[in-house]
Amino acid sequence: MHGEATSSVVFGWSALWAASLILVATYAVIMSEKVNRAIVALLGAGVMILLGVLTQEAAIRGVDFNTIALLVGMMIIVAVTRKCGVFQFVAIWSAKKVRANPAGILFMLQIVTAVFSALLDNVTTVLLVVPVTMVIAEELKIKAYPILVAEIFASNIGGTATLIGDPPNILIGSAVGLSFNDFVFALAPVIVVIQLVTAGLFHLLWGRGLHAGLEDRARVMQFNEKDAITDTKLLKQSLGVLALVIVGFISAHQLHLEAGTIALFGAAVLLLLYVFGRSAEEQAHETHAIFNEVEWITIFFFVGLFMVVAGVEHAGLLRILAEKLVAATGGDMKVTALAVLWVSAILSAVVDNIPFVATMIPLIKSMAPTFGGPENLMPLWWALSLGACLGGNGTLVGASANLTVAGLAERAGHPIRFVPYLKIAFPMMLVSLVLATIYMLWRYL
Amino acid sequence: MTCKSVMTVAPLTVNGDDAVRHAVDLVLTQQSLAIPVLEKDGKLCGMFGLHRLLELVLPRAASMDQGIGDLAFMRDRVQDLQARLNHIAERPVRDFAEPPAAVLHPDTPLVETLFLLYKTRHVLPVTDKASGKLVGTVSSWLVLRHITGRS
Repeated sequence: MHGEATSSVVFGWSALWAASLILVATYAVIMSEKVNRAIVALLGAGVMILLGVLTQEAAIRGVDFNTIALLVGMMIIVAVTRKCGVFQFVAIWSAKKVRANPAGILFMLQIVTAVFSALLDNVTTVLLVVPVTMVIAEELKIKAYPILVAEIFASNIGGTATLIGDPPNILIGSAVGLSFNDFVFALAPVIVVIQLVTAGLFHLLWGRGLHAGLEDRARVMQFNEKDAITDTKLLKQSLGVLALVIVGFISAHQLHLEAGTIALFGAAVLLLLYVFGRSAEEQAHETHAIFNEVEWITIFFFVGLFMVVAGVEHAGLLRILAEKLVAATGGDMKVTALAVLWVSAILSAVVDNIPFVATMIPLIKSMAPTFGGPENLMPLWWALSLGACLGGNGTLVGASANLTVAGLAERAGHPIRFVPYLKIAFPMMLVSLVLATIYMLWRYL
Repeated sequence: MTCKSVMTVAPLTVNGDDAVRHAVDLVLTQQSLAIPVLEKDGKLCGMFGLHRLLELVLPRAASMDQGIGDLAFMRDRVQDLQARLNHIAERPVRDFAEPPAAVLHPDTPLVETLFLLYKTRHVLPVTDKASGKLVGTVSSWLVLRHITGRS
């Protein structure tokens, strides 16, 4: 049984039951937030191996190293790029473009956040945009709360549009072999609509009530966005590498390269440019500092999770669940896709969407025979992406970016509380799901 | 030798109920790095000093953890900065007292006192272990004067 799962494990337990138990326990502890999620996932993976559900070789094979490389590569590129102040530049520039009108700023910062989130990870985006937002709001003497909530939405909506925008898309893209272009062509049209409708709703809800004095607006107009750029040389290098990486993503299929390879190579080139000409000691210091900014918790969480999911997959649990799901939807693609969309969204609003999507991927893959082959599963992949990413807006715990904004807001004295957020966010998430449903029915079902 | 031998036994203090305006006056007129803020019963509530004062005239997002890293783009005038301070001038200083970077006790060894001053670069409060009441303060000036025989 070298490299394969076993049908029975220690103490004669069935592999299926042992794997199911480990999966449920891992999910439960992750949801409880009592123990760091990376530790939980790695423990779950370890127990899978120790109980004999998976061999070490099968566990290693379960890790999607393309996803890991893509995440690490993009994190390094962002860690270097953020040092030049380009994100503050764009945020200030956009605020001045609307003459520092609060309603205009509410709109513009949503667009800026959505675009950044499509190209970078959501947490990084909000970490960069939220502090500038707070400075602008303070200068205008307006509440930052509406803009911060709108930015949460924009980060999750924008991230849905591309392969690299949100971890669920990275997982889906890597597992199914979907390219950057596939995501943009399939999801960007509906994401533009959802973002504009959401921005319209936020305007009706809050934007039209935001007013600032002329003197306060003049103070923001005096901001010099060019001074936000702290290193022009680094700015050119970072944007050059980022542009090449995105061109690489777009041409990945023709180049016969995985997105992870492109991202990691781009990261290495940018690091080289960043440390070039410095002493060996300085190079070591700067490289160490940049590597420190990689979110290792997320990376190890993914590694552990891949192994846990590999365990339940090998044990046959996901095949059984897929059969049940197909039976429940009568094997009808339309019903199945809409069920995946809505169930993914509702669950992603309350549980971490990364383990959910990691579990759903093999489950959907095993539906291929029912729907006539893997090529016919595309609607399900788009439904999963839209549901898992948009669902993150439903509650304050629905996505990492939400909690990041809430943490920053708390520290700045603008707390975003769970229930008030839920009252606004959940209905707005439902609106985005209705739009996604219409789009899915029109284009794919 | 312990902290007791180098501390100021009757330091400048403010009451937690005092207005921020009063604490600012004391810090600036007495050229004090930081002064202890006390509760009515004499227990230490926190410290208020130059660092906190600088923080209060800056935008909130500049001083918070993971806040903005650069304010070179801002063009606020002196009156804009004053306005930030005026906005909170009448509020109780308790609301703006910082937790002390470290708390010493009269029996804290001198080397440890020196080490904590080196690490925190602050004026540090000295409290009675049992009651938690302030009994003095220690600054780098005091300790170094003592060590170099200039006290």
